[in-house]
Amino acid sequence: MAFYEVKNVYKNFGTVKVLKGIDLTLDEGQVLAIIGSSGSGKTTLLRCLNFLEIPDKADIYLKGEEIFSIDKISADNSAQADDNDTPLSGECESVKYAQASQDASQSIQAQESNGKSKREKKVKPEKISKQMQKLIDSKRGHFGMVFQSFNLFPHFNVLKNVTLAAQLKYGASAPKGFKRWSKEEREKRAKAMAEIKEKAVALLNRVGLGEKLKSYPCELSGGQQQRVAIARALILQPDILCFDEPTSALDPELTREVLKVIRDLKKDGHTMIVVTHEMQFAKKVADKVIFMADGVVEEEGTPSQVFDNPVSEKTKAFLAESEKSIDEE
Amino acid sequence: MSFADVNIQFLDAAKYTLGLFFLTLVIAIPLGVVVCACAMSRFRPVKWIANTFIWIIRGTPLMLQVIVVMYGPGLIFDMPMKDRFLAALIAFSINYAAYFAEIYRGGIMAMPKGQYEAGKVLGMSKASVNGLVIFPQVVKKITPAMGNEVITLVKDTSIANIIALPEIILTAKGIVATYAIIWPLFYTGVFYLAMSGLLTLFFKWLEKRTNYYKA
Repeated sequence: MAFYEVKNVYKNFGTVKVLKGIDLTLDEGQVLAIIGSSGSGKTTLLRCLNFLEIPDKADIYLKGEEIFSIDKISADNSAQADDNDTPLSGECESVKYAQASQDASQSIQAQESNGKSKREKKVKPEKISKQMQKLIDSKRGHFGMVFQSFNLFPHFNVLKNVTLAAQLKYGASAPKGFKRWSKEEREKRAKAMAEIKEKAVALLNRVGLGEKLKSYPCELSGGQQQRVAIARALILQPDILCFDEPTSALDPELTREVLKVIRDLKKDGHTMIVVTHEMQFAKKVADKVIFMADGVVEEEGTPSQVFDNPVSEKTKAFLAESEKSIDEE
Repeated sequence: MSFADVNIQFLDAAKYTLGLFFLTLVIAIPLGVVVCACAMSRFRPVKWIANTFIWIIRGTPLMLQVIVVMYGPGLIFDMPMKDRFLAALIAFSINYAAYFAEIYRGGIMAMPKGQYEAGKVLGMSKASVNGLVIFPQVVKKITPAMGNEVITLVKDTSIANIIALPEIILTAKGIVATYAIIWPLFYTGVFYLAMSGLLTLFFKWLEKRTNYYKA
């Protein structure tokens, strides 16, 4: 079995079907590039894999072990079958799904999405049950995420941005309550904090920001901020590091410095999933490329298969479009 | 009545003005957090009650609210309000809590979603995200609006003169009526200017202190 395997990812936002059954596999140390036009569901897929969105249906395996499995769709369908005697037709299926889940959980999302809502973007986050929350919290550590807009904490300096999560994680495993720390505990704690700091400094050196430890994010360029974000994700030692269009907010020069860091991470053996519009990067660095269109994997394979010998018409059209220069219009 | 006598009387009256001012802040700042939490609650009835409360408080004059708190209990429940200062304090605290709640809410809503998501993917607990990431940034965001509101509060304390709380304006009105001189009433402005001037400096300092980063 592959290192990481994802099967049957479905996600609807209200009545809009964003992901319609995505499968992907990834071996350890590989880099997967996901390409495709805007609105094809690339980012939603990545957010589902990071549990920022809960997929409606998905089976996720890591190192041969099932870490997450959900199937809201067939659960709702069976609930529907019980109290619904109108025949199913393809067109109204999704609406019924919304109604069924509304009956079941009275979720805010379902109410908002019922009918043809024009405010799809404003669909409120669905209520997550405590059980589900616990499950995804426990699995989150497997994945790291780097955002398009960096999302650094602006009020902390670079070093604190990187150390914060690791320190909190250590704190969570430390004894709780108002019990006074014993001397050994205090020393152990101080040592752990110092180790985290050391590790953060090493990581920041790794991404070329060893000199900026005390700077605040607003004092850095976009490329530097993104590299801090990469270090911040790495300190938790995720099994898989995800990048959501990491260079889309950067100019070509800054893009290069960020992509160079990602390439170096590959050399270190990090497993990564990169949603990107940088075709050259996908071609050169990725071991595997997925082209997504309309919520399905339209084409997948090695970079040479996808870029040089695409099978699907949509892929061909997309690649041709992306290589076109403006004066050819 | 000499200039010095007027000053002495005003300084004596200032203890009501300042007392009302500081105690209102001490009560309204945390009370606003509660109101804000209710207004942002996912539980609809609570949200509805909080929003109705804010609508009523912001939608009626503070002067009317002071009068209602002062005379309402006596007229409705036959339990007359004995302490004028307490009545003013209750009305002011409720009023300012509603305004502060809206300022807090604005500050929280202005936080980019990405900050919550970054905390989430880093495995931080909800409490950690709110306390370490969101709260400090919200404080910085709302400082100018809070400064505005707090300076307004200094001047609003004069509204308590409607229930005969002997603060600066009422004292001045008393002098005007007793000694047939008008200038003390104008002179109250100097006291309010001094107080709001100090607050302006304080908030400038606070803004500067949190200016080590830009959001």
